[in-house]
Amino acid sequence: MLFSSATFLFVFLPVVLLFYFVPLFRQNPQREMTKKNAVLCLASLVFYAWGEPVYIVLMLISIYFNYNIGLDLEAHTFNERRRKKIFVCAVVFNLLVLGFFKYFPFAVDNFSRLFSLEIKAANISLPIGISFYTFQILSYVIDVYRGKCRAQRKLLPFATYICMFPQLIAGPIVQYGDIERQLRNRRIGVRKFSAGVLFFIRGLGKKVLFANTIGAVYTEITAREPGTTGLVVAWFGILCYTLQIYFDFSGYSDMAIGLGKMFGFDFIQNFNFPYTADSIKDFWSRWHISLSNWFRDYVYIPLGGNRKGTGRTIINLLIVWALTGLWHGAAWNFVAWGVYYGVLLILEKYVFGGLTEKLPHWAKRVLTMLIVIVGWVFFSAESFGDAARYLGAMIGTGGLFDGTTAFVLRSNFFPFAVMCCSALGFFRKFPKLKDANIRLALQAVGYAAVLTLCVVSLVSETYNPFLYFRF
Amino acid sequence: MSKFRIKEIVCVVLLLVFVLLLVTQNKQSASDPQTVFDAVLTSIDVSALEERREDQFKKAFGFDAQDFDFVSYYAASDVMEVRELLLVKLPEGADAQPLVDKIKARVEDKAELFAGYAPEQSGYLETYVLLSRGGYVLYVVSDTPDDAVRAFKKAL
Amino acid sequence: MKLPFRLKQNTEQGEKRNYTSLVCLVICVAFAAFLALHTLLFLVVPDRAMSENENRTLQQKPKLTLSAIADGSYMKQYETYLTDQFPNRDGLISFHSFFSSLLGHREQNGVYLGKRGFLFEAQTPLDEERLQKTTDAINALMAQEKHAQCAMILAPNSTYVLKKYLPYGLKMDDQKAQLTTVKNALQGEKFSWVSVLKSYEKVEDPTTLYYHTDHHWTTRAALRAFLSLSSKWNLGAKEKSFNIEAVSKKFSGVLAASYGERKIKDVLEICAPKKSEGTYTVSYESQSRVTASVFDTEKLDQRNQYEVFLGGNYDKVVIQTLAETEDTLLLFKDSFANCLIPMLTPYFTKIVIIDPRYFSDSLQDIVDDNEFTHILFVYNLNTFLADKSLAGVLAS
Repeated sequence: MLFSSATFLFVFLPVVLLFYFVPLFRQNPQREMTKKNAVLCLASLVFYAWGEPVYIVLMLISIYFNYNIGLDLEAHTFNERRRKKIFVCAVVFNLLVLGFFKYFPFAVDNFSRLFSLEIKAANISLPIGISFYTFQILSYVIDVYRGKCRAQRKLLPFATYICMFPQLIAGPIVQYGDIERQLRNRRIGVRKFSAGVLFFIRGLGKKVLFANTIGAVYTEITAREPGTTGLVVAWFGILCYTLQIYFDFSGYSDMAIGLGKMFGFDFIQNFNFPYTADSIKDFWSRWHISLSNWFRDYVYIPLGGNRKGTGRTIINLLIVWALTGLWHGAAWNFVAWGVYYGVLLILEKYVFGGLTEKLPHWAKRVLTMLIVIVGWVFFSAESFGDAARYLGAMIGTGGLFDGTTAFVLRSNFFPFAVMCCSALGFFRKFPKLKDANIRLALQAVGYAAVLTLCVVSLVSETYNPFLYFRF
Repeated sequence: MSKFRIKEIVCVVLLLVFVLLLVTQNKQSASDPQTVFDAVLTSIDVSALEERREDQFKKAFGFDAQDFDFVSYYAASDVMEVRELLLVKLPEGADAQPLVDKIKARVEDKAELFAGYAPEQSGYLETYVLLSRGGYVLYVVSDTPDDAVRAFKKAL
Repeated sequence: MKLPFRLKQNTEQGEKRNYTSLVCLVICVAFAAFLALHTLLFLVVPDRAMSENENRTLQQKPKLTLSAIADGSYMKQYETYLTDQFPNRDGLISFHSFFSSLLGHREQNGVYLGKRGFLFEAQTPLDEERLQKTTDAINALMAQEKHAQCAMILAPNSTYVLKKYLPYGLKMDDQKAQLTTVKNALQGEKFSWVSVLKSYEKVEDPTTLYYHTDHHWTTRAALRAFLSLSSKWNLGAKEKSFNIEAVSKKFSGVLAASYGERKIKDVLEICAPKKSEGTYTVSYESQSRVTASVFDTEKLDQRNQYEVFLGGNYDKVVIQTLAETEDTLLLFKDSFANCLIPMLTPYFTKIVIIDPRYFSDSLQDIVDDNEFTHILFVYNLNTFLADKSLAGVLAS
């Protein structure tokens, strides 16, 4: 189930909110919290099963296994060797599950190509959200092993943490340490709920009004015959994709954060205007922050980070970035995309970092955006061939203009411009009106309009006229 | 052995069983093709359809019925009727993809023809079912394709 | 220690806004009310079976069974059910189409909104291999039926004829060049090419040649093409021997439905020879149905009023007339021909109409049984270039 669907908005969410907020144990706050967690956990299982009725079994097994691992680790606090054994078993288990369901067909395919064999992996579909919840589980296991936090003694809060539906399928990746206290006790109230509502509406708007609209333009442009796309349209297309992926991803994160707030949780912010970055490093401190943090805390630093000399730092960075790429999908173009960033970060750090420092601020930003945009070509392409062809169109192999240039630009320019301004943060300070009441009224109208338009768009997207006019 | 250890092992075993079940789902079925077909046939309304000959199968799908272990094809003689039912059992180790592709192309062509002026027929085509499982290929265009799928899966 | 990432926790997007408790409460209540209102409407508004606008059956509430849940079909159907039965679905959709045109969008579901309310479909690109197959098959048939007079009416599309009404910036292929390519590919001893573009030349206002809301040519355009055919075949037809009558002033064609446009309307006209009633019978063979008119006026009450011509598209239709002539006609066509067929009735005693896309019998049998004196192809360029079935039928 997507957040941006009628089923979620008008069936699932109202029912969950009702059960969550109607108090059962007025006198006993602790039991009331347990009930709230139970509602949330159950709702999350339904939410997951809605899209993956089979793989819910996998998730339940995973939860129960790791719950026991946590307790097991804590039961042997003074037996370091035993703890290490348990820990290694747990990490191997979780990585094997992720590896099998996400990367097995990819690995088999590469293996058979390497030795020119004709093996095909069994056709197994990818369980939704497995990359996200596996990473959350790993963060728990590692934190408990390191003694950074206590093991969770109760199964319910643990299961709630792993399968909480707001961030289950698209993040942010919540680290256990950040949320442990909130699982026991959190403030739920009108103030937080209203903040959550506004977050949610912003996210919904980003996803439905922005990402979906501008994504359609890119899809249309890439669907053309190769060689027929002119330079201007090709650049416009990839800019559209650049906007789409940002609004899609950050919209989803905002909705997750908003829903979290409605239920009383505070998740970390996942995006911080990444397209205003002035260096690659800066970009990655603003883009998908929870993932960068995870790789930093659980891969980069354990590998030794930058404490073991320049050579080792470079290797560590390459490992982290190849893995980051691979995390996004089981295909070589994702690996290439990750390594692309790894290499650029190394270059920035050791080679041209000093040079770019001297550039004016706007030039640094433009340069960073160029690098990011070229990165998206690799990210979005189905294969290296496609990526190369698209890059070709961007340097003019299809001419400067094609027959559709004026039409494409004219049809989409206004929404495009609005989205650019939004992505660059121009609207952040926009309603700087003196009169607080007028500002409030404008905001109210704005949010109401966004929510209404989202519903209109969601319904219209399913407009499926069964008409064919090739008679 | 600690109680946690036992629980962990149980989880691993459960997981292995789960993966095994997922992977073996697609193994050759031992059921008799005719019984499988009869099960599917009785699950949906086929009053408008009649059994088709092998040459008609070839004309419709471009494959020789002789190349398969079992072919049963039901369709209507009325050209304005799209509902049809096909069950093919492939020989051991044969690739289902060419047949599957051909069926998909057939559905697309038909959908183009009927779209826009025969909403009911178009609706059937929209919900068509094409399944390749257990060495069988099942293709159903019907008002209740899900029933056929259920009967098919059950009979395997 | 310097990290390759900047540590940043809880960076809130947008500044922290300190709303008063009252405002917060209003936000919560408004949001809850918004959700509840829609949920309630769902429960109250009755389900519809069919969408007239979309010309399809709508998803009904799926049955809840264990196996339907296990294979996920229940969830899929339920999601479709909710959006299909969404309260005021049609209203929301037309609002969306209006809103996106405000933002500068001129395309919905592959249909373009041009100037003066003209809607256009995209053109079919010319695929040389496919075209060659079709023209080869036509040439082969003409070679086989040497004694028969053959002709082709290939109508250009509105995107070409009305190209100055295309939305700003949209460019399409040159159909004039494509027509010439087709013309040059066709060869036969008694073959005549009817130049539709030339027959349009006398028309003062080209906007009368195509509908705003539909991809078809108008009946007046068809009449121009027919008169041009008549002079090639010496049928002796005159413009004044035909009656043109408007049967609907609220015609809204498939392009309008695809675009989600509801306001623009066209006038739908029919054209028939004077005093032609009762002079012929029409038999729809696959339906075992015989009627006395080429017009099916019942269709005027339907969404797609264009089906008033011949009641739609059928694989094979035979018209027997009382015309005092020995001539017989074999007609291969797409739906552009439907409004032209009535004009043919006074000039042939028998007309066999074949729509190759639905035709699955053997053509040879029909040709052997009938000894046609005339063979005619009526297509529009878009369908003709996309056609995959004509070659197969001609060879059968």
